[in-house]
Amino acid sequence: MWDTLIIHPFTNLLLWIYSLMVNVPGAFGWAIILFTILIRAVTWPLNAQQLKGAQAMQALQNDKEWLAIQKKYAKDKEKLAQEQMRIYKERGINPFASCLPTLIQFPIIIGLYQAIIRALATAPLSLLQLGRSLYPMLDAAALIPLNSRFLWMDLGRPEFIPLFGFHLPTLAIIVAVTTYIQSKLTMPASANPNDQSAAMNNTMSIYMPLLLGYFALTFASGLSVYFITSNLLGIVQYALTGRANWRNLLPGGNKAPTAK
Amino acid sequence: MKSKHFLLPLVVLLAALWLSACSGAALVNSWPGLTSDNETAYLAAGAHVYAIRLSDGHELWRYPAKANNNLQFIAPPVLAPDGTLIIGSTGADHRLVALDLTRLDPDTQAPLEKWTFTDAQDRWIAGVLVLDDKIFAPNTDGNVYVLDLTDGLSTKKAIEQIDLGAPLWSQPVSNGTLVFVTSMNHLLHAFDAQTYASPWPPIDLGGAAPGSPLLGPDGSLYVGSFASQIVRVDAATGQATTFASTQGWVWGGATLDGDTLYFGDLEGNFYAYHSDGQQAWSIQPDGPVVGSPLILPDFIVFATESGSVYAVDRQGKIVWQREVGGKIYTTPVANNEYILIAPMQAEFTLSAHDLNGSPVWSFTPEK
Repeated sequence: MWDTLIIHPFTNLLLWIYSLMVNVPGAFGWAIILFTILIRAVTWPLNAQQLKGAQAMQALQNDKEWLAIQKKYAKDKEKLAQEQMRIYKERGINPFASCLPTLIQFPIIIGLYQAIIRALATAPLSLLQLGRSLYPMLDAAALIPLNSRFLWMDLGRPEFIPLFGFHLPTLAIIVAVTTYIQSKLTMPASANPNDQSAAMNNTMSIYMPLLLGYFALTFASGLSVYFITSNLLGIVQYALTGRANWRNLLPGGNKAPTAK
Repeated sequence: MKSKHFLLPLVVLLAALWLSACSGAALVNSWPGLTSDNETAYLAAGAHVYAIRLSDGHELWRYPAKANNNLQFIAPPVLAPDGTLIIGSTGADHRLVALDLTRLDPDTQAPLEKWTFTDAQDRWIAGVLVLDDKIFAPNTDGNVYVLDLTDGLSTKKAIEQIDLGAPLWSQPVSNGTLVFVTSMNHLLHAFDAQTYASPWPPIDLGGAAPGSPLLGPDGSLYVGSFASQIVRVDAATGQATTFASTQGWVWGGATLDGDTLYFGDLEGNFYAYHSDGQQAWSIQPDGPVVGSPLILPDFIVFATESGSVYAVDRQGKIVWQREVGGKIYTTPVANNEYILIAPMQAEFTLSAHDLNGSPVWSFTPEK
């Protein structure tokens, strides 16, 4: 089921893009970048919904009525939940709108990773499996095996640059930094010190760069190319909306100016 | 809200575990490599190379004695005339090692390393070719490393490095003067065993060729590929012609018996062709044929991905068929008494069958 619905389509799409540029140096790397742009375009409504939901929740944290019910029903959790739900309903806010799109993207990331590994087919059994997962529209015999070289990388392996006797994980660092920048830019400023949502965003802005950096360090560098492309696109897309919070990149920059 | 504080990190952590579980980053999952002499079978299967006594299937030793995550073995081990067993690692440690079969560690009973070669940049999937006093070792970094078998060094250095530009998965063959090897970028290469000069430019086979070329007695090379064909190449001139078209991709090399070539394809066909290019017969076994056939005096043996072993006579009549189990990709190996089969995903790792196909013993490594 997973293979049929996710891995096979992803693998074939990747290879189809690859087939369009097979004579271009680093074709598979470019195919991953184009594939990411495509995925980003397809999931843009989800991302937009996620941002909208996050901002609505954020705005709620500074809302007078919201703060009032927090205070009023601080000792009555059941009543507080009822009142919160009423406000959600009245204002058309889905409290899960901000995290659901993120959850939906995980299968895409995992599917992409498996598709990259399958497409590169660096061992006999995986090459055999690749041959069987390709749709007839692709001239599989001519395409495979794929050239996994892209710039200085082998996309089927974790990336390091030898430097003064050390192996510098360049892509892992770039992945962590771009993930951090993206999460900080999309984080609205908050004036409320008890803002749970802001606290969660702060936590995520630390977790995610570390986690994705670890992925980049450990797994095939093709996945890092996906992460970096996706992050950069996210930053550009968000910047184009004019709502990017560039001050967040500075220490202490996530505090909204307090009203006088 | 408080619970949501932890929800996303938890989900992210679970996703990380899922990704880790499906990555296969540390282990290479592929079928085992197998070879044997008259007394012992040598099986390269994952973390170890096993030596198994042919008479009863007893494990004599394993190398390394203790599993090392950086060492994985799937390439066919090669017995060299100096009493060593040469095998390369498919793991993160790209080591080619020669095990001295005459010197065993007194504690583990595993053979001691006679030499290692660690300069390759990638994994070893192919077996090496030993020709006179040289070793021609094809690596997935695209180089054939030429090593001196007799230099006495415990850490070998390549005396020549022949860059063929694409991963090399197949064992080279030689006619004594020239060495022939396929690369995964669809090419067949030839070079002189002494000067390393190419007598003719690489030949485009039309598809990847993970199997070894077959060298015929008339000097012709026969190479199967994913282009669903066998190409015949004049080893002297490099002139190539299509010898046979198949219904599916050809993975393993063909095998020659007298005037007839035998080979299978991934669509589940097994063929016999006369050397003049005329098809003698073909049969449809129960699954794709990946490994090469094995020629025995009375019949030809081949195995299918469906886990069956077939013995067919030279007229294409099935003499016997045995369901071994699992999936069989490794080329069967025979010695005087037994046919050895190394399946994947079976209850055992190696089984020995008599010439009627009846199982004699099976081997499962102890943990």
